[in-house]
Amino acid sequence: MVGVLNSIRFVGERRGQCSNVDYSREVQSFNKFSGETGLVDIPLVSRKFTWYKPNDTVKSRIYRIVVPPDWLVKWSGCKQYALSRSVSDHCALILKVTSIDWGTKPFRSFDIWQKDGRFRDFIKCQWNNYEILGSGLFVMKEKLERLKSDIKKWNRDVLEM
Amino acid sequence: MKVIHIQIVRGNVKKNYISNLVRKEEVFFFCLQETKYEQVNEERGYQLWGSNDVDWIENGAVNNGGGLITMWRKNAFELTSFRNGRGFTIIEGVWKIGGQFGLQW
Repeated sequence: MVGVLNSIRFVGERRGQCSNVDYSREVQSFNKFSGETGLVDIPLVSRKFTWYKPNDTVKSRIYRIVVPPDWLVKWSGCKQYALSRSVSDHCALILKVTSIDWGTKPFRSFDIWQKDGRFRDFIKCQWNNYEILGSGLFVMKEKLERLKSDIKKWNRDVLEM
Repeated sequence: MKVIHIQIVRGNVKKNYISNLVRKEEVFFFCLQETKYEQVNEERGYQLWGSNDVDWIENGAVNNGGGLITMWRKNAFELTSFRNGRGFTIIEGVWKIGGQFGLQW
């Protein structure tokens, strides 16, 4: 469900000129709605509010996207992004799934390689055959990198794993 | 899977903003309010989305007020039914996209 819910979930989701206004009833009504429909709020990232008065004196999170719990099972890691105000004083909301980047994949060595008599010779042979020019450290880095992909190839072609 | 919601009124700047957003964010499903459109014909719909790979349901503006449009990429979503009411549109359909990240077709 997408749209103006005109209600807030936490007291901090609205800032206004009258800071002493009690929003707790509104919060209660949102939570009641959420309880009755089963629709859940999705974390909003990148900004706190989705609507601003032009002079920024009043801001609120009146727009939101709420989803049924199954949604989060199907699309886990789904987040709401509020874009910056550009053509409107209302922020566009984007619901998207961002895949997590775990960084470079670690290199793993298998015990079976060590047990295979051919592995040692293969490494020795490859290591001595690389012709790389440069400082010692650079040569070592380059050799390790090439070795990594050659081991992968060896694993596939020779061990057929 | 990306769903977008924005409040907007007429004007080329805003239309371009939308089609740029749709392209940049690779939007599958899009909800717009305060369209001020009584009717969205093919030309206008394609222009708003930035391509013709789109279907939509409109809930027309009355006396230049309100107006909702719900748009989606044809190969991402298939409409099965809808209902328009005063100030709301209910859309029922099937996602054609799946997978953990919703990006595989």
